[in-house]
Amino acid sequence: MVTLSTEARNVIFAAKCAGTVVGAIYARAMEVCARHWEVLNPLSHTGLAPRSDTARQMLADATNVAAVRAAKEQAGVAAWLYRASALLGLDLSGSHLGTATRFEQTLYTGDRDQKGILRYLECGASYNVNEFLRVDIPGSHLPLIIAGEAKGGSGGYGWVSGPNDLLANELNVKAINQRDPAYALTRAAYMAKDGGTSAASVARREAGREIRRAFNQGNFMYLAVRGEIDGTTLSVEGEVFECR
Amino acid sequence: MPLIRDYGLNDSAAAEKFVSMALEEFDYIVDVLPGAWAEMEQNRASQRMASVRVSLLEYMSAAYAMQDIKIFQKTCDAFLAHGLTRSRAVVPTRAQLATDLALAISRGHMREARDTCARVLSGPKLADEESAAALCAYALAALVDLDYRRAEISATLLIQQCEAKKFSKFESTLHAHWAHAAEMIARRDDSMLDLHFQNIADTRRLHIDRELARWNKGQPTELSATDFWDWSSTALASIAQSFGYRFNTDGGRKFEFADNNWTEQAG
Repeated sequence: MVTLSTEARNVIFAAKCAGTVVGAIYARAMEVCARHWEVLNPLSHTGLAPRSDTARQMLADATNVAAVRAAKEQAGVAAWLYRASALLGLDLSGSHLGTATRFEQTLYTGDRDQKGILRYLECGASYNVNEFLRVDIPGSHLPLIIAGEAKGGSGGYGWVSGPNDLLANELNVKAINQRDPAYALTRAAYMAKDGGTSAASVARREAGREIRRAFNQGNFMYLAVRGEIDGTTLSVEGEVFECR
Repeated sequence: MPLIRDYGLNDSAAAEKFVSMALEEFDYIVDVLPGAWAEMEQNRASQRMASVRVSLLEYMSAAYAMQDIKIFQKTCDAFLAHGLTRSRAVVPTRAQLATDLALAISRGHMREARDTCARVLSGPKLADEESAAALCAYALAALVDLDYRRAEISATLLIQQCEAKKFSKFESTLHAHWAHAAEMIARRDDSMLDLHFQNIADTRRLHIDRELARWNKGQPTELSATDFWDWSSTALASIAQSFGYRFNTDGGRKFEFADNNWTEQAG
């Protein structure tokens, strides 16, 4: 069932990139695929389980506010990756995360494919999206670019200001919520102009450019996920947002 | 030689590097415009189109600063061909129309400019909380329409908003100088135009210098390629020149961020 729904979903993605179906239909197809995938692959049976366990242990061991926050952030990232895996029908721990490495002593972890193209970036600093994924979709000339926000704990999605050209002049707003796909666009604007030469800066700039390009081309998806540690389990609550 | 070297910036090399990044990033952008337009018209979804418009503006501003006439022409013309006044699906805001109007005037495309003016002036009455871009649009439209009274009212309102610090410090300073220039034109007085345009350029130069310094240190910056071309002032300069006002007469000094002669010639 997962294989069939994934194949159908891929055909819809190609149609979305060609402009013949709206993005919301593709998002629904992904949800169908995710429902089946999650039944077959509960979090504890995926390669993401150690990450979820680490978050739970970090929370159990936490003795100050900073440690609690770090544990919750870790839970949020694990939840985001699990939800993205379900939507893609692909355990990311065996693909994108398998060879991902931290860039020196930075807050950035990333991975490149065999051609050297960035396919995963996790950002731990502000003025970034939390997560960036690039996935090749069979039958489509464009990759699917997913950017997202991972929330740990019960904190709300915040509001940020950003480039005036986009917010004030084009979208007629002063600030944007983290649940809005255009939020990723405002963060990508900061990422794309990173002029540094370190591996982290190069990856950050590449991710920012890819998000903007995908938003412009119509092969972009925004995913916001909340992960909360509840006793011995990690609850995952995610939403896919399409451009309006 | 790229115009950007005449901007009088503290670090021209860094500025060139910054705008070159935009030229490199957006070399595909004109090709995706028709698809984004079609999606907006079919689905009444405007976020993708908004993103494409901002990318186009970054690309053409970088082309202006580097004096790449081919890219500038191609991008600006594509933008105007997909101007929001033509949309049947969305009702553009005055802030959005400000860009379309300023570009049309800057390029000397007066038929498109007049269509946009009609939309700007026929919209709802000016409110106290209008954005700076909306007030600029209204002033420009009224000037093109030779309605000096309405041009002066909107310019004065913009000055008041700036004095009340309704915008960021940079925007308030910049738009106050712009509004003073617009007000002078509306009063048919060219005695201080050079000074106001020079103040606009100085404010922009200071902003770019400050933000470029942050960028050089790897800090988050509000700088955008769009800071390197002032299309709103270019349109104002174009109107002033068409009215035959004494303008930019001190020989050596140019209003580098708003060279209407170059943008019109590029048309």
